[in-house]
Amino acid sequence: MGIPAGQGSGCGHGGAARPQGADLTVALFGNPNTGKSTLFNALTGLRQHVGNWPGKTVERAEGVCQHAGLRLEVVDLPGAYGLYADTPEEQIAAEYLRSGAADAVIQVVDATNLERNLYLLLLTLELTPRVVVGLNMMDAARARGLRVDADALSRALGVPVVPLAAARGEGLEQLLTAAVAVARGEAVVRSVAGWRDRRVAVAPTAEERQEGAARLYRRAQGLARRVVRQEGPTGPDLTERLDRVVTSRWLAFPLMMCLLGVVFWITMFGATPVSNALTVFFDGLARTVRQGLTAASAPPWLVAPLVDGLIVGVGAVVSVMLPTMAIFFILFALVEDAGFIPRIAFNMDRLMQPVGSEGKHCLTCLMAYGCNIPGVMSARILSGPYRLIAILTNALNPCNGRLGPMLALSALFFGSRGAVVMVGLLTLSMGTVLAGSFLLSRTLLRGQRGAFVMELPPYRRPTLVRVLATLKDRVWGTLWRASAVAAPVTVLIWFLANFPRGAAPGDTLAGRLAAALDPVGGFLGLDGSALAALLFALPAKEIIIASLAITNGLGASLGGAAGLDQALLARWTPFEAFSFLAFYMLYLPCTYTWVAIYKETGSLRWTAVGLFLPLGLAVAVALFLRGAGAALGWA
Amino acid sequence: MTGQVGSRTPLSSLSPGEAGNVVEVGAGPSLGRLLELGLLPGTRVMVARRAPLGDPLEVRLRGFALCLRRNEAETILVETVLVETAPVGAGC
Repeated sequence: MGIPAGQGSGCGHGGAARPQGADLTVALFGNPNTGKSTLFNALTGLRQHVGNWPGKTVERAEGVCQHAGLRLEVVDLPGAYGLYADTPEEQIAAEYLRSGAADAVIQVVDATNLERNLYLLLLTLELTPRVVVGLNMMDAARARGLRVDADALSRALGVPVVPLAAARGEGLEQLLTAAVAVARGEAVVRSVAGWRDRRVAVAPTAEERQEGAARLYRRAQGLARRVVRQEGPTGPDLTERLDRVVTSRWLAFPLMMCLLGVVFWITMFGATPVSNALTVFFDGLARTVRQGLTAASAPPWLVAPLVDGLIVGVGAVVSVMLPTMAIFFILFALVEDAGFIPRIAFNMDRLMQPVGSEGKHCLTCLMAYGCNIPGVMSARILSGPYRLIAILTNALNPCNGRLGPMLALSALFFGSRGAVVMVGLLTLSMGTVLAGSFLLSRTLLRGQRGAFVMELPPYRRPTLVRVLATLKDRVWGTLWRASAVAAPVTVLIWFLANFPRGAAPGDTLAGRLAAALDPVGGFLGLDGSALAALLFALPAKEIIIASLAITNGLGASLGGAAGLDQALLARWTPFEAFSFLAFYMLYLPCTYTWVAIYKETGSLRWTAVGLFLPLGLAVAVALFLRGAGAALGWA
Repeated sequence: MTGQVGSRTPLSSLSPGEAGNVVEVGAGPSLGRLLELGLLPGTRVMVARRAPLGDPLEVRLRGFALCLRRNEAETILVETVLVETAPVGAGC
């Protein structure tokens, strides 16, 4: 009885220090696409904390779980296919497993894909014997007529094997019981002779790696054949039938365009009523606070910036950002959970190759349409030069914050043809992404080779739980961080729009700034008030409309845009409006995106590229439009 | 059918539906990753489809599906086998 002593990892906690009060540490590990995150969320609920592994841009999620009176710390290791440290994810996992920081490792294994999952399991067992196998996706296996003998697998491996359907919450209690038993040395864990003698991840030559992989795969294959039975017919399943359509030569691209169009349409039109309601709410809040402060005899120099600057300003940002981002990311998560996302990369890869990029780049662009901040972070799914290219071109994709004002201004200047103008602008943005990728891959990243190997998992029914789990980070977290940066700037804008006191709109600091920028604007085919507004909109692109109102002398706070429509129609020709929209769409990432770029690249140099690349492309487009406009007599 | 059964041919030249046993895994940029995924000498692989624009390929092996660019698939040599009625691969 008991675990063989002295083998594999010791009992130290070489990795992270155990938090106060946690009785045991359990690590989750496994291949990607095994439902490991779903399991993590099911075990820890909202009691989780997400950060990065030290020194790496790989997400680290930890949480707490109560079981049988014990407090368990659960660490979600990055999903990996192996442990040979080719990628930062594998390096992190290998180090952690070797360190013995975990009292038990729950290896999540996909029952519908056993052979490959067993390879990683065998590698893990070479590093630590304290493993419990979570045989997940048993529901999907049953649906396909696959029967997996968990007991036979457990006997063959020498570790407990617990069947699970994490998405349905099935098997979780048994899994935790087994993990606790293994952690305390109470489980019967048979040392399978011979396996523990091999060391992993120190095989330097390609030949040795190939031999090692071949040996383990032979074992994995043998095991899988022994414990898996296929019962029932094996015709083309849903995944195959869907893929015939989704990746078909004639339907693939129209389908993807339609999907994008539908997502945008639902986002824009679904969000409008909620945005309006939020605007009313913030107006009410501002009024109440103003009344309260005035009644409490607060000095005017405090009330005005607080109410007209901060509350109105942040309110303007939140009431636009929150509903559009929430709806967009719910739709995105539905598409993602169903399994369509890898197919998009598969279809698009051939188009991305000539510009030095790859299919998954398009996925980061799709995320960027929701918000550039998760967009930049999503570049982690890429590696090598492809990752940098995706990060640095991400801001060229207009986020929801830009799409709203772009739609409004298109409708104002082009009426019903505004939709066509939007399609044109989006096409332009895609063109700049390709151009930017091409430039980067031929200059700063020249000669660096990338590879594109990607798993195509089966389609599955999306679940609300998984969809909502993504919102916390992508929407809520982003909103707080972006508002924190935007808030002080809204106060600054209020200040610029209201000083010197009593001055006419053209003489306020904002007005003078606009006038000073006229020459620069003229060079680009814009006017000074537009440029000043673009500067104001740097912390949050949503506020461009309100900023235009201020710089055109129509308002002294970000809450009022009355009369702006007429003012702009009088001031700009449709062609000038288009030039403005193009420049606005491309010019610079918003300020929190700068921060995200810096965090993801770890380099000021690359962050500078991330600013100058879009700016350069925006200026190039503006100059081109100015020239074309002059030539065609439209300017 | 691409050539005779039993002939050695790059994986990239198989048509959708054709299968082969891997003979040699070339030295492409993804060698390490492919080994980890089980693309090894002796592995049965099948080309399920090509992307709408011709590249990459969807390759099935060991019960799952992978996409691979043509230039990588060119470095992988396989020995073609007769296409079976029950094809290898994910969910089939």
